[in-house]
Amino acid sequence: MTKSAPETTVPDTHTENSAIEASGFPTGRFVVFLVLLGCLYSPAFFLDPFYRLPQFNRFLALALFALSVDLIWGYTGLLSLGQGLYFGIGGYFIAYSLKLQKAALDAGNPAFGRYDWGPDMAMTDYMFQGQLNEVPLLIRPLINIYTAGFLAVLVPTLVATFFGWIVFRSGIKGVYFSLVTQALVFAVFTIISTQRSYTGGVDGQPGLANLELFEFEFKNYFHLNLVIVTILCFFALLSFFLIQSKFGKILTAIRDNEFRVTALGYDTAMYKAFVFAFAGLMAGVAGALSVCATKSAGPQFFSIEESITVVIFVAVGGRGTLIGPILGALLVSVGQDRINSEFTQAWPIILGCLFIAVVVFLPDGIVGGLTRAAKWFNRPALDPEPTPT
Amino acid sequence: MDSTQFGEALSNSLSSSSILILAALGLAITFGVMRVINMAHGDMMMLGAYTAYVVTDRRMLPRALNHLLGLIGIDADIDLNIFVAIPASFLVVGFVGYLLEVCLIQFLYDRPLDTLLATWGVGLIMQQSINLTFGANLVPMHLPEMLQGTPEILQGTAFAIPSLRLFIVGVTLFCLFGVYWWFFQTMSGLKIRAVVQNREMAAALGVSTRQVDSITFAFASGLAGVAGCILAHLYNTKYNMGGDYVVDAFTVVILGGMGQLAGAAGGGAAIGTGNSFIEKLLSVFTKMDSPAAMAKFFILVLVVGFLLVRPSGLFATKERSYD
Amino acid sequence: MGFQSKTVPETIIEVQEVTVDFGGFKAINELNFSIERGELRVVIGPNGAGKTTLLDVITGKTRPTHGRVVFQPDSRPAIDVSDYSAEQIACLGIGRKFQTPNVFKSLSVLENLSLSLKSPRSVFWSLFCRDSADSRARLQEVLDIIGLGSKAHQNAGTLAHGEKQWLELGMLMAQDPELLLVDEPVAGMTPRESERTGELLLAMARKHTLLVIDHDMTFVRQIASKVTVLHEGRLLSQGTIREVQENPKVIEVYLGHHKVAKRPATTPQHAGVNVLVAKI
Repeated sequence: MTKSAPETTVPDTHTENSAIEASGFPTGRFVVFLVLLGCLYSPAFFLDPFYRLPQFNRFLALALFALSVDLIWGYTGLLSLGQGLYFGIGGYFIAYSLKLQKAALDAGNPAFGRYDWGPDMAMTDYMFQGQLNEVPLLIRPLINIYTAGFLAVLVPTLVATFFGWIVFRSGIKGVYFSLVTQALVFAVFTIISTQRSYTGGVDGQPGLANLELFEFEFKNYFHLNLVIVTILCFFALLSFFLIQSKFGKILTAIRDNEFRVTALGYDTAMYKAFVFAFAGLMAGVAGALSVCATKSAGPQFFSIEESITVVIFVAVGGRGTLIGPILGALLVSVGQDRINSEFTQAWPIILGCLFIAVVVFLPDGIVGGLTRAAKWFNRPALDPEPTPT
Repeated sequence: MDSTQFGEALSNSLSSSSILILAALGLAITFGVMRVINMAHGDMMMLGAYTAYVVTDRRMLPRALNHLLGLIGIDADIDLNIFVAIPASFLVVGFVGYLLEVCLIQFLYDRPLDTLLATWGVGLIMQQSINLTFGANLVPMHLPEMLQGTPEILQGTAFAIPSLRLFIVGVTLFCLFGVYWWFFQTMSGLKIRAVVQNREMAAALGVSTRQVDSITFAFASGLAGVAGCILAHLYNTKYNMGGDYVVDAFTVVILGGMGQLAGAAGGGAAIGTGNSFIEKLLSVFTKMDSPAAMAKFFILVLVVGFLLVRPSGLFATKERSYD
Repeated sequence: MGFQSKTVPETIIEVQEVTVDFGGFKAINELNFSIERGELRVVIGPNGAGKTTLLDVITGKTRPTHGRVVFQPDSRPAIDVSDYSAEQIACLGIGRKFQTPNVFKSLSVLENLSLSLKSPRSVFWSLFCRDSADSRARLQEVLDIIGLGSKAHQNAGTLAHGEKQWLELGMLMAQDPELLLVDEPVAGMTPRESERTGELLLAMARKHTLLVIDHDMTFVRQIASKVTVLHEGRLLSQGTIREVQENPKVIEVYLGHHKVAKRPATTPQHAGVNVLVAKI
């Protein structure tokens, strides 16, 4: 069993280098990952640009959302059932901006430019219906897309940092964490869906203006697609490096055995809060992109269903892998779209069966299953010439 | 806030606390004691509500029974009410719970978060099946004469609490004491507690842990059915009502403290009462769009805040680590 | 056998009048106990004697109801550990090996060791650091001592039970704590593995102060110079292994009312109590 007694071993410099340097950067996997990400650019060139492409854009935003859930659930073992909170916050900031722009454009007041704001700026339809006298003070500056975009990234990150820091400090973990995040997003959902004159209520904010950045209006979904894919790739690569760093190893270690990580002297609450904040940031960006892609936002962003559906994207694709959540989000969304157009009523039942099937039969998802299959095929042959039976 | 408004808030708090306690009692057993995260618990309540519909609606079961009796020559006019619906809901939903435990949950005992996802899927299937079979919405069930109105003693006082709500409080207390008695005063309750505390040891002592698990789960599901049945007599119910209640019920259980039956009662009463009174205060003193939603928001945020300060909940026990 | 301290005797940890009360049950009862720098101390005691609770208290997992635990690190002022959180205590230089193997099963052996290396523990550092040549050499040294060099890139979850235990001892070595607490390192090991674990611990004891908890008297005799016996949360006896074995109080506790027990026909390897009885 043992190779050498401890006292007698003299470290051999040759084996030393070979053993340790081989642990470096996984170049092969990185190349595969890059190629797969590159493939995401291709559908834009053949999808129907008026119906399929905007849909694909939304799916890509969901893929980014799923990636954020994967970082905290797949890698760190924290199942958040309230990740929709950050997605929704990011989305609503952009939605306010585009909705106010739309109102300003429709009002056609020459004294007001697209981004100008003041007490007499144009109100959105739901504010009219809610009999507000003017646009609420805090919402006004959001008409500027840069302000809104900045806040769409910053606020989810801050909320996630704050919430995560308190939750992890107080030692809430496992199922408790899931339920607390769920309770929080449910609380916000009750507010968003009932305060109609401020948030658009259950109808949300449909019929938004086109996104305009740097004097360039995204009338065409093709350009928007390029932006969304690029942002998704950026975050996917960032996540890749994050996972490869020592930080990433510590996340995995926390998932495996958190107490042991503490015993090594790491402040696990800080690590968890950090990754939770980063995931919040990604979810916020995903929400913002989703709103740009669909030109609508709704309280369903904050619904528990939405947050859990994203979890199932991750589970289907393969938790604890980076390509898994992207694949899962795209496959399930496309499946949902196809099935919805064929049998309108059947989707919830099929989705339900998918939940059960994945959990029972494929706990590590498609990517995990493929990896296992590949390992099985590449297993060292015990018999050099296997005899057919 | 005058005394009438106080009375109204009190009346509301009695019924909403009762519903919460009943909803959470089942979860306190499956989640708190068995450590199974049953996200379909709310949908079990929905099943209870629809069972109440099938049993009490004149066009459903009573008509079928009358028709059957007519076939054998009896001209009957059977009218079933809440007194039949409650046990019927308990049995029907309990049976569904039994099936769920035997077919799915038993394979997932050591994977709590996976159970959560799988049971969520089960919930989706239940919702859509019911939606397609019975329709999306139910109006409140009709009540027997004796539960309509307000008891004479209370009429005209500030505490004009309707009979139905008093009855609901009664059912809740009955269930609470029933569960307490079962768990702590009977042999089978002892077996449950033994299995929960040390599965291997209980099995070694000859307790059939499989049987205990499925019966306990079925019983807890039955309690959800009772809660749903009562809801169907109070409010409009719909096929996807489960989502709202399951969050509330989980909140009650973790507020009360895991594994504590008293916690479910305490947590349910705290949240139900808090909710009703905050709602009343908001509607009296402010001109808010929807005080109910605001009250719920406040309560949820308060509970989350409380849990951050005291993660083990209201009724927690300190445990010695094992040598 | 065993290794006595090489430096001037100096107390590294002192447990003063510590009581741990679990809702009426006193797992530790006014315990006084100390270890000197460089010592390899073995703590034995029947089940429920409070051995694991003692480790919990020292590492900050459990807070004492009364009393305090003073840790005196090298070249730093003495501290009361109850003022610190578990991870701070770990950073101060107290490492712990748990009873069951506690390795990160989805990380490779090397990654397990690398996370344990003595280095900054901040989030920022972990994002941008690269392993230095020094730390690589240190990792190789540890890999060689624990004899898992050929399995450096294997996931720790795939290791055999004994190998996991050694990996964990390796992680402790990499962590380089001043005081090392080891909880039943040979439970479930074959005699061969257990002997090798003893060699590992003796090798570690040259650089660190060790507190080992065990039942297995063969193993205890292999490594121990000084033994402390706990009973019902109190210190029963302390001294060399011979002194302890001859102490009437210890005999009383271990034998209970079976005072007339004779040497059993077969001596089970792992039943420490029986072995002790046999020796007495």
